[in-house]
Amino acid sequence: MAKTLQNAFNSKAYRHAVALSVLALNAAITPQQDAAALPYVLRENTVFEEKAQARPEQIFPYYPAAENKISILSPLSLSEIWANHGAPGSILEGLARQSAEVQEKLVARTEELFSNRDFLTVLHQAGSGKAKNIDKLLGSIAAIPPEMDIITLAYTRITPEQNKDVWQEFQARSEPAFYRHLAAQHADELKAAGFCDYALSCLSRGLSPTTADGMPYNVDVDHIVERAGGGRMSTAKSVDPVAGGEPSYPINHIGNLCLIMKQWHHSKNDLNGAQNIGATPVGETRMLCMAVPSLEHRAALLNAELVQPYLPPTARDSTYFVQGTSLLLTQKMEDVAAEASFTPQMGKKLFNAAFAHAFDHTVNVWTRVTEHIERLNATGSLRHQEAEDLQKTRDDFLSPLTAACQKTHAPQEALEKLTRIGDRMQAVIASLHEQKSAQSGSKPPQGQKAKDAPNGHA
Amino acid sequence: MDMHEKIAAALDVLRNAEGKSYFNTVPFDKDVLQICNILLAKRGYPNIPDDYGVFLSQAAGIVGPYFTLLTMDALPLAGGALQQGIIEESDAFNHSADEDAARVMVVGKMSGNARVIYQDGKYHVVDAATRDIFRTYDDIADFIADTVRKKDAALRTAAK
Repeated sequence: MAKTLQNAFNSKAYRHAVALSVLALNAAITPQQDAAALPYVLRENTVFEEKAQARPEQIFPYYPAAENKISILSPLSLSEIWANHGAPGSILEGLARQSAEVQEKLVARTEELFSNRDFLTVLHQAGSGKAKNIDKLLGSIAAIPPEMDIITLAYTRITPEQNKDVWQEFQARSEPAFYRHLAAQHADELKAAGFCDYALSCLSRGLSPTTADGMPYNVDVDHIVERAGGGRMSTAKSVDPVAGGEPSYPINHIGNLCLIMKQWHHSKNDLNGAQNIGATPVGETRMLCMAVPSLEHRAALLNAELVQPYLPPTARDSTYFVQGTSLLLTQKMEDVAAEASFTPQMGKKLFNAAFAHAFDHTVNVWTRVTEHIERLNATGSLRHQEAEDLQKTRDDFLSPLTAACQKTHAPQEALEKLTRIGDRMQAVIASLHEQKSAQSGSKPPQGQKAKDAPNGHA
Repeated sequence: MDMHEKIAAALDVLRNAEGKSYFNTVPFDKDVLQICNILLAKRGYPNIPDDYGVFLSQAAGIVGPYFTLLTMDALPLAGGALQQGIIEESDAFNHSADEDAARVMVVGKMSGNARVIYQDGKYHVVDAATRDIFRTYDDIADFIADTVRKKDAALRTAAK
């Protein structure tokens, strides 16, 4: 826990929070002539009681002498900053329930969120709901990628019949027109993002982009203002200023469409879902916060590396990429292995039909992360303290996946791929232990030999 | 025409369409289907519909410009990305929706944030955010053939 706090404290996002906190504190102690202009509510003295108990030695138990780290304690926590902006108590309680990682991301977003005048309205709406839904909202905001802005806007729900009409128009006219527009106006951008010539020819024919063998790219077309909540944009037709032609619903106009990475589209939809937009009664208007592409990427919000946006420059964060995909696969394999009707003879057949693509992807991510960690280690960017985290990632995610593959009688070549990754990770871990030994002049810890066996199998 | 033939005919419509789709061609037989149904049941989902099982035996998932039809495994996308399978997409759909809404099985996706769900013995194309129903089909063969014909007709109209 202390290490997590220390990591959070030393992160860019946390330093951002420190700066914000100082600004907020300065603002709070500066006499104001016009109280109505304050963007926050004045703090209560009790808010700072817990913080007054904090001591630097509680934050830095392992590295008290680190000279290159910020060694001041933020005067305000995330909850306190949001309290000063006027967030309701239930939301503040929700903030306290979030993980350090989520809080860190919310800190980085705080200034942007509260620059939206109606964000407080959104929080007050959400704050009257269940704790579970508040957690869902906060988690969803944190999950929005930095490439997207979060804004607030009015969501006016249209009738299901009208929604259907708008979707049919999108399918028949707007989507093909948007693809042709992308091919004509954004071809260089799309090529730079990795689209092949065949994909560009698909776009010019009004089809979504695929490779020559029909495999789609990892993108969706997103309505920037949501189709079902577009109000008049989804009911009163006008001529699209870009596409021209017959009048169409403005919600389907090219200016409201964006080619977006699928995973970012999912994050946006999760944020909408967390605000329960589906339950908005027809004709009613609610204020929502929504993720939208930044202004310079309104037509296409893409990333050149379509598989994963990037691997963060720290081992701790890059290993995060392997966890979700490994867990999903392991759980499904364990469920199969526990089933009495499953026989070893079915292993290969089931692997090919139900797990092979997910497995290949998982191995691909592990391989990339391992290469990344090896590079970090080769350049001396890994600290020996990170051996423990790497060992834990290997033990908690790679070893269980290997065991699940064995239980489900996966093909031998699949197991060998995992073993090779485990060996490479272990080599990095061993190298970090050696660094530590060299620094302290002592021998590697007892029992290390057992852990050094591939995938934890001594 | 039995369901096997009807699905084969619908897949031919897709193979001859304006845009090319990717067919996942791994063998998917009754043994695999049985295990997949166990995985679904453990997560509170119904069995794979009979006609969808027939579809999977002919094409174990499809991705392309017209629609995505899912299987239990993930499906490959260009550049090494992945389209998750029935369980993951169903979980995501149900997670995003109002918690009081019925838990349904997602078998496919379409552009414009639409999902193909199986509910009450029919396939519905619905809005992923609101669950408003856009189209309804009695079986998966009807969905495939009708979706391809409509999209290709729209492309021909737009090209004039």
